[in-house]
Amino acid sequence: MSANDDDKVVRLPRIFMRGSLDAPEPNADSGSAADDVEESAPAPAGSWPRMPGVEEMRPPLALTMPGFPRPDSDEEGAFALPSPDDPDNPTARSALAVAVALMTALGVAAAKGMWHRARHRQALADQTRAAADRSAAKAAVAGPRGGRGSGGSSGSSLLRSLGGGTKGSRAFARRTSDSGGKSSLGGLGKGKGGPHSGSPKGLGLASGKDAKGHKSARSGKTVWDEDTKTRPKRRKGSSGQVELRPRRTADPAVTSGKPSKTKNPNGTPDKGAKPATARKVTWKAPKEGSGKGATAGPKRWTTGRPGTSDKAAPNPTPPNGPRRRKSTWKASTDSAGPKRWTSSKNATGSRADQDKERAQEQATPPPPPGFAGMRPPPAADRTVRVESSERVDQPRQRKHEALALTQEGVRALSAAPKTNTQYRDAELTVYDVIEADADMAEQILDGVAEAEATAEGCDLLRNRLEALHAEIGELKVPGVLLGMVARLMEKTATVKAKAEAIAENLPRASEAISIAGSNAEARHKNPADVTRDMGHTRPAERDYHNE
Amino acid sequence: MGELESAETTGGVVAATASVLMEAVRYGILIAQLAVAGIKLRGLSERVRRTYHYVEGCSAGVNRLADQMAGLRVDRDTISEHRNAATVMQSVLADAEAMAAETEDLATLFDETSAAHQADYGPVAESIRAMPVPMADASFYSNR
Repeated sequence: MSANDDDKVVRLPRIFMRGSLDAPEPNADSGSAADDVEESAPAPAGSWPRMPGVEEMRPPLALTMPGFPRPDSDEEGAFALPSPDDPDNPTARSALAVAVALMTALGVAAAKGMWHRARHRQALADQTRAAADRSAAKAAVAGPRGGRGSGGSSGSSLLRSLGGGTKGSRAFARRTSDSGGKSSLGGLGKGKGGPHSGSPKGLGLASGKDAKGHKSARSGKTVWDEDTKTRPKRRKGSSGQVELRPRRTADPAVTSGKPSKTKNPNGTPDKGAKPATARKVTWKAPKEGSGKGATAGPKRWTTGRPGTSDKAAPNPTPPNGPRRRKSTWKASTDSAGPKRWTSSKNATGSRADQDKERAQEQATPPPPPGFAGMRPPPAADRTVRVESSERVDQPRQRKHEALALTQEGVRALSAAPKTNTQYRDAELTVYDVIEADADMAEQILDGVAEAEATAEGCDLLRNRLEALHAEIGELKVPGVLLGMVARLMEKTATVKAKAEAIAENLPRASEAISIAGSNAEARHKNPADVTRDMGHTRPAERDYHNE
Repeated sequence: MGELESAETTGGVVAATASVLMEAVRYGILIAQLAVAGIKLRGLSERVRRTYHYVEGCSAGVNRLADQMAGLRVDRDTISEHRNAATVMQSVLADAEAMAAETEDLATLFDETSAAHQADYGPVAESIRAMPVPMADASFYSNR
């Protein structure tokens, strides 16, 4: 179980979703639930939550296909998903309907869950205190878990509210629900669960549920168990944790992880005891006895949680102390947001646990630097950075330093105030030229039509004059008339020629200016564009580019 | 008439001038038509100049651009291309000016034709018009 629990713990974030879909068996999980709770608590510096295996991260089968309630699982108030017309060949429409129904159900479940959670927290907090006191008396070893227990319980409360109803297994129950055939979804809907009662038993149940919920309470419990078995070993290796955290953290994590492991052995016995009464016992035990910590993971978590408790209680620790706290706290946050919240609240509640946790913390090696991941790399000199931030009057220098310093430097550079110097004394720009040329090329064509019309008019006039000339000749009008008319005809032809010349040359002029403009554009526009795109009003003087 | 002309384009004016000559060719009518044609075309030169005046503006603008670019040390090709375009515009302007002059000449020529014909043949036409009897065949009055 412990191994299994560890694995499950790791999967907690995922389980959130699952918890709603699949209802874990309350009994089987009760023990694991406790572990989960423990895990939920912030891990000691060394121990980081592991990421689930890649295979595990696939969306649950239930989500990939339209689900519909079993015909037999008809409990009162059960949520019935719209069953597809043809289950074997679900259509997109049916899938959509199921999705919508599912979302609605989730919303309702969440609302119920919030209400239940509120009630649970109080009950759980009370119980946790009592349990913590008992466990403290029982457990000789200061259990970081104790703190966790509270935190975990709170964290679990969240889940419980969702999964609490597991018993009530809602209509959501899927075919998938191998465990007791109760659907995890049902759990969501009801949230009625005993957990709300707040009685130790209820807690135990709740924890079990939570565990499942966190772990994704999958139908395939067996699979989980297997995984869990394998996982503990990995954790000892602490490789998985390292993966989660930035490279830096790796070292501290490893170191911290080892100590926690040593404690684990103590915990294992607890797990063995779990069975029936174990639920309560284990549940509590993990809290305090996280020191005994059945699994390394939970212990770590608990230790992490203490960090939160530490915050509440100002205990001066070695210079590293504050850091650890922070880091642990963060670590816990990383693992599961909701848990964090709950833990913080509950943690304050159980002082005994907190004390234990503190003791553990002091014993444990420095926790992994949670914030460190977000700090400048070792190469970056912090002192320099501080100075630069203080020096507002020398932004330039600051920039240079920053540049030399990598990412940190980059950040500083971006933050540094910029003086954008631009010059706007341009009298004529390439854009002006291009625009003027285009306008001119278009405008100059205006006269073409006029010229052509003139040429046509000249043609008409010439024809008339020819007719006149012919008629005058026919009428045998003596004198200068005929010759004059002939001259008129010639003159008209001349005018026409000029008009035609204009009609020809205007397009030529337009073409010439157009070509001149396009050539100017081809030659000079790109630098102007780039300059503009780079946000500058104009490039540097010509000499600046003469290399 | 001038008002009517102003509403027309150069081509329209020329065409209208042509239409004036459509009437049957008779002495009195021809004289009048030639005179009218002359008057019609008289304002045409100014119209032509006005019509293509913008080309001068374009040419001047392009030349100014070229000068400015030269001041900015723009490459020689770009400047010369602009100057060439300006040159083409100037040639158009020259053609327009020439056409305006020709149009003026044409108008004058119409006037001259009318006057010349009137001076050359007016008395004959007047004598014939003053005949108490219808005119006989033209050859009957010939003085061979």
